[in-house]
Amino acid sequence: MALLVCGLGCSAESSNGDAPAADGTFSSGLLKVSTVYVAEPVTDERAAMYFTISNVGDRGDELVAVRTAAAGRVEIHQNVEEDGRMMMEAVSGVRVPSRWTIHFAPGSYHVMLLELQDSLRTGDSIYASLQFESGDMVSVVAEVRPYADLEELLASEDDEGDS
Amino acid sequence: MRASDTFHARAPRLSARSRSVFNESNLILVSLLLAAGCSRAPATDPGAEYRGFLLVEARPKVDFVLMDTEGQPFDFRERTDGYVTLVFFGYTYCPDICPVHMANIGAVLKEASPDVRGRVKVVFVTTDPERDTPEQIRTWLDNFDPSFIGLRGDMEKVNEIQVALGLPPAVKGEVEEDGSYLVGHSAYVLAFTSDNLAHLLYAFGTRQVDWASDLPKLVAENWE
Repeated sequence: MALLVCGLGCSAESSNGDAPAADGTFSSGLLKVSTVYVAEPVTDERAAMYFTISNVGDRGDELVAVRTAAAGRVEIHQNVEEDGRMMMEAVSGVRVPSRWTIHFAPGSYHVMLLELQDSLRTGDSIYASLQFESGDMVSVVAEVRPYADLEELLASEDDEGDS
Repeated sequence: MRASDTFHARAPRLSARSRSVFNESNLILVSLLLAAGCSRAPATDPGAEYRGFLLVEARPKVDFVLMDTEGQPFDFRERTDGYVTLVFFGYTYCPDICPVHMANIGAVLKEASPDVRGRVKVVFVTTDPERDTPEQIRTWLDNFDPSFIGLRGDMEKVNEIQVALGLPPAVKGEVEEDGSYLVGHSAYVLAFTSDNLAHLLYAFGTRQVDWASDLPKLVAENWE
């Protein structure tokens, strides 16, 4: 499985296009991916991954796959509500319209990491790459954090200040 | 009767994206509850102090006995009598909604005063008895709070209990090639108070700050 160009030694100063900025944003061209986290799995079988994708360009794109060596299989899921029940379902992709931001979050879109290759614990990080329809690929480092921390970690900036 | 004419729909959320999702589901919930005889809360209604959804008609406890994670019968009514009891139906393979609910409640109880903590019982009932062994449920719950009660019984019985509690029955999804499947289930936590009636529902998206606000009120509540 192809891994990232950027190893652990990446720093904000790196000239590598996939290097994370100091604020933990990963980008390729006009696609920016931030707040990348994996929820520490409660059982070692599967884990959920979350992030925020911003498309700052003039053309829409679509996230079509996520790859990582940490999982044997990866699916993109959304939660749908039907007759009062929440049900996850796999989707083939997630549109990111131009000048738009999509938040992956519990109860909404999430990436399912199935057939985990190793146990993931808080403090670990995994590499992953987000593949887009346009051919763009954004390489990210996802930090593993406990479920209880997610709501704070994933709260987006535009939420701040409103109650 | 403030509990009977109150419906407070404050929308908790995790992010802007999820907020819109929650608002949509809240709309669905509002319409469902309206159809069931609910009405919007007047702004001055004291019940509006709750972050959860106040039910117009409080729901009584249901008599049932399921197996706990020690393999012992657990009489729900008897064992939760007089406690604030948070009931949630889910499954341990669920990676997104179930662990977030449990983790948020667990995190808040950890910080709660002993008075509150000692008056709250959390009951998790599996909607996937096929895969959720008692050991699996115990290991899963221990991650959030070792005091959480895990119950298991056959699917038909668990669905009857859900319906009796006013929740939709769980539905097993399509079995994939590798034998895996997902289970659709209610994302609400039902909250009973010391009168053994459920007065509140907590939607997915209820934040720790919401639980931290409501749990002491639920413990102190006498509905007078």
